[in-house]
Amino acid sequence: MTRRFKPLATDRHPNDVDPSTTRPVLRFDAAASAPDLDVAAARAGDVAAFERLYHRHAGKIYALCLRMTGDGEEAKELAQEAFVRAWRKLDAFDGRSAFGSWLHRLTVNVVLGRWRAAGRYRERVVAMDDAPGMREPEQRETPGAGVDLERAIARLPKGARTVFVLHDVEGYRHKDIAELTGLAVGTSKTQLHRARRLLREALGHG
Amino acid sequence: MDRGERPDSGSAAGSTPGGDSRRLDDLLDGALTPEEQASLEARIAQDEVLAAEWEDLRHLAEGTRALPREIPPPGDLWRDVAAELAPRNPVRSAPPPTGFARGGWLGQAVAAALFMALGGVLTWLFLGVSTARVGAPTKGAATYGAAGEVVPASAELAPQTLAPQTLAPKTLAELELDYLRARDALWLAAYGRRGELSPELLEAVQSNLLRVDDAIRDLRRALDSDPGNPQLESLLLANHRRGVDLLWRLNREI
Repeated sequence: MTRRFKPLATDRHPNDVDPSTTRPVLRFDAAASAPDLDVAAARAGDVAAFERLYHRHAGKIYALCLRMTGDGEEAKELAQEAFVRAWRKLDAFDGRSAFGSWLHRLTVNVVLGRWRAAGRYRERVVAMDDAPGMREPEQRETPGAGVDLERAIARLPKGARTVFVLHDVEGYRHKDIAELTGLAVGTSKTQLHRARRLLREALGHG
Repeated sequence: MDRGERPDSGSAAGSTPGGDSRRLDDLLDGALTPEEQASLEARIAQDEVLAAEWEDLRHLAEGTRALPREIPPPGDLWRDVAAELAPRNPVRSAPPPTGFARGGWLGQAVAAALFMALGGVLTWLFLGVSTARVGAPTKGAATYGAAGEVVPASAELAPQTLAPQTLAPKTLAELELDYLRARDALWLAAYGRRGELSPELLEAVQSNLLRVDDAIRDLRRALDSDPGNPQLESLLLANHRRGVDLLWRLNREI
């Protein structure tokens, strides 16, 4: 089970000062603490609690799947599989990391595992000689800012896209990417460099 | 970005156009030594092509950082997820533990329970809640039924005045859920009136709730190794009750 309250030091906000005493006022952060109560309840079999967890994390998980696959249908399937697997493996969540971080990594493994099982892993991630340039888009329009970049990411070759999304979008280190994907660290860096070059070209730079 | 990682090529900065481009990546990722960084930045300042490429790379990085962290999933995704959720058994079956493992978990569990008992005493001292006040009739607070279940906001007796819990007729899982729901409700009630609470009080309650969580975690692990152990189950419920007690008393202070 995880900590249910944010550390006190981070609960203080510069603006939270009682004017009568100038003493900082500790803030209860329901948004930060409630999810962990839901994790505990979900572990005990409470589907409603798990649904609340789903609604808190679904946007991030779906974004991860969509950007990794570049395909809306496949992203939906993978996000579904990730949440179902999270439900089954909740007992394995030991609370050493935030639930969101645990779920995120689990999702990456679901995506990569699906590709491995489908026999397309080398084509998608490992192979360095996949399509030399951008491919035609297969799917979606993403509204709002960054549409061009979203489209360009979706059109990246799969290996380059995977590394770019994990490194530049999701903040994984090359070492972590190597562990997750089985790539060498150097290969991960090469794919990232390639992705950035292709993206700059696609966006009219470089 | 992976600060501190070294570039894999090991090539000298600026030896080729391709090498320059790779070095710009390293610069962006903070993977250069201070000397390498200073050298490359000096060259960027003197080379318009390199400077333009660096500017493009920074522009891309800014655009990437600005991407939304969330993308709304299809509306029917939860329905599809829920359709595949099999019932969970919160107290998992496990093979009989070895003597060593069992002793280790039991030892930890008992230690956690003792620690909690001490923590509870300290909390009451800190909060300055008198014994008489604790035992007085209350309203609007959670309490416990004959089977140990939580009865929020309706009972007239404080927890300490009730009979010891038993596991019948409810299962351990059901009782845990009762506690979690009560704790959730009490927490939200306190959150709604947080402005009326002193920082010291909040800090004490938070600290003790964290200890409750630790004890519950240890007891759950112990139960994984020794499922059905009535002593462990009783300790587990006792710690759940302590968590509810803390929030119940916090609400009384408001």
